[in-house]
Amino acid sequence: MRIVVCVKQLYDPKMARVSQSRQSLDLRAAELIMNPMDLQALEEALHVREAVGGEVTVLSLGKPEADDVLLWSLAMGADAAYLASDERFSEADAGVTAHALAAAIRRIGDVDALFLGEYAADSAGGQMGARLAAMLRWSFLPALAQVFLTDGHLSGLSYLETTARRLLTPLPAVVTVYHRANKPRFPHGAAVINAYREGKVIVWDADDLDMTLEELAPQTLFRGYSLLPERELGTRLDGSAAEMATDLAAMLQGRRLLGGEA
Amino acid sequence: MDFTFPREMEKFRKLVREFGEEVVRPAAKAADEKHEVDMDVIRQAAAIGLLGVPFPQKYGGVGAGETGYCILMEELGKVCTSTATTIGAHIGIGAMSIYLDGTEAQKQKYLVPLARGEKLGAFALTEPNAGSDAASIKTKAVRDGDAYLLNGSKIYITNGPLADVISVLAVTDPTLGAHGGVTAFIGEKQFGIQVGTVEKKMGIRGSATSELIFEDVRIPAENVLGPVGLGFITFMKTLDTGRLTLGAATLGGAEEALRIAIDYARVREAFGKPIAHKQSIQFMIADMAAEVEALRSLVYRTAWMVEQGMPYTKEAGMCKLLGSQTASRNIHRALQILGALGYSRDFPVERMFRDARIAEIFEGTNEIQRIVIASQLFKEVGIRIRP
Ligand SMILES: Cc1cc2nc3c(=O)[nH]c(=O)nc-3n(C[C@H](O)[C@H](O)[C@H](O)COP(=O)(O)OP(=O)(O)OC[C@H]3O[C@@H](n4cnc5c(N)ncnc54)[C@H](O)[C@@H]3O)c2cc1C
Repeated sequence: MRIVVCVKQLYDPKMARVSQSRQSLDLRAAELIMNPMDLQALEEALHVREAVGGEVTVLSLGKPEADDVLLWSLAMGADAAYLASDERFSEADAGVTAHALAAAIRRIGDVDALFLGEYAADSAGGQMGARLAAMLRWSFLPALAQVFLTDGHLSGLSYLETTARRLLTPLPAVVTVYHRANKPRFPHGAAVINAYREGKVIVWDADDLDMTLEELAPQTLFRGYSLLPERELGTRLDGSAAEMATDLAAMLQGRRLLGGEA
Repeated sequence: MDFTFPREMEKFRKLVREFGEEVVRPAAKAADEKHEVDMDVIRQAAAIGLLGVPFPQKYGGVGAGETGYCILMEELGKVCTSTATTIGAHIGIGAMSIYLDGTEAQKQKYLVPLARGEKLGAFALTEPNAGSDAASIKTKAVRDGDAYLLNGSKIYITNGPLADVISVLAVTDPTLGAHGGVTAFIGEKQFGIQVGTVEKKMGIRGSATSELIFEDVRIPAENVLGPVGLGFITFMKTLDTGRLTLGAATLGGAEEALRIAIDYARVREAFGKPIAHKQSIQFMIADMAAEVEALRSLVYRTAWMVEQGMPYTKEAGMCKLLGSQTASRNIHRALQILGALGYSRDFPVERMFRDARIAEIFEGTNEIQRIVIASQLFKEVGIRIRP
């Protein structure tokens, strides 16, 4: 049984500052972290491995420093780690990324299941799982919790919209792990020290992945951010409840926001 | 010169910080109020190796050395001084004495379960009539066949009520004094060591401190730690590393005070603007930050000296002296900046204020640290001074 977990490095969205005037994101103070949802995907995979045995392999696409999320995953208990990294990925959109990840998964080989986070905390695109399932022609189970593997099948509770549905599929399958599925473990201190000292990450570039020029060409172009304008401070009403209600009604009528007769 | 931490140390810090924020910080207030060690926190720390951070992996440790151990204490010092104390006494003096002077067999039998956190350690030196003057201990160890019989009592022993393995210092030959007549032992609670009075304390109330009573406690001769008669050296050597890492814990407290002060000064308004705009507040914060940086440099350089195998007695004394003063001063300033909120039990500064005071007293009072530092300084110019 081999599970591959896709993990992504991103700037901590909690530490990104929005600059309205320059219509840009200021990331200077932001730290690079592992997408929190991917931590849950990894935790779920480790949990499955503990139940049925096998191997958990982690895979990322990113700059060389993205090895950090893979080393942390190894510290948490993953068995092997691969990084797809290439200058030619610098403009990669979701399509290019999916092509690269799919190629890496084929190259890893003998993969029974692919786990991803429900979405990435920065872009919140949430499309990588579906794209990969389509490319690999595997079935796709979104937002899954309580994942189980039994004789060639994978099952779990899928949390979409307001209901949870129990789903079952034959393997191989692609799963995105529900963003509240579990609480990721702390790695052991010695595992952290060893993972970062040993640095066992295998790096593949686009050639290692046999990617064609077509697969490397992004279909979407990033042209900048369009951020919501700053909100102006509202008007504060004072006085008794009755006075404030009268004032409010007058204001709304003044702006023609209340129906009826004035 | 390179002042950066290796990557694995930065990541180890990330682990400890996340553990501190998610597990230790939320439990700190209740432990203080209940005046009890939160054993669930200690067990969770043990599960990820935090009870054996400096020791080699072959002894069940994390293998993060003195630097990693200082990182642990600094991060714990930020969130809960009680937890730093419990773990510090366990690793830094309890298990450390066995790591420094234990035989291979003793390390296998005692250090491994201590480092894995399966057992809790303590270090018993102080007696009712031997505090700063540790050489005048009275607990006696008399040879009896293949064992020693210990009689006497130890007081103010951190982890006393909880510890399974206790390093004890006792007099084996009253005619020889501290150098030659005092021996260190590895005791086990189950040998019959009794827990006496449990102290009610001003601070670090989430740690346990007690009396330990020895009445004909039989300790096998194979549990003598280091050479017979030279236990004082083992114990003093152990306290050297303890002082460094206590310095690291105080660094955490001092930094936390600074962080709280800045956060509050940004938002608290008085006379129409945030108090951050008042020069007297700025000056306090600037002093806090400068002292934190000085302490950080001293602590991590001393950790580096330990790892290089250099002598560090003087520097360890400085870490403890400067650290305890810096933490107390910074928390005092933070409390001032927070005004009534600093004095309220609803906010952690009040607890930090009570917790910080102990660092000026235990592991050798600050007066004793000055004696240690001065005697090293005079030794360097050929003069020998005694306390
Ligand atoms: C919470 C807590 C936990 C502790 N944990 C442990 C532990 O785990 N293991 C352990 O063995 N002990 C422990 N201790 C004991 C601690 O190390 C001693 O309290 C400390 O060494 C001081 O001893 P004392 O209290 O007897 O003070 P004393 O030695 O009586 O000192 C009283 C005062 O006289 C000063 N003084 C003494 N001698 C001199 C001198 N030569 N020159 C100048 N001034 C001097 C001291 O600095 C102090 O101000 C703990 C104590 C506390 C409070």
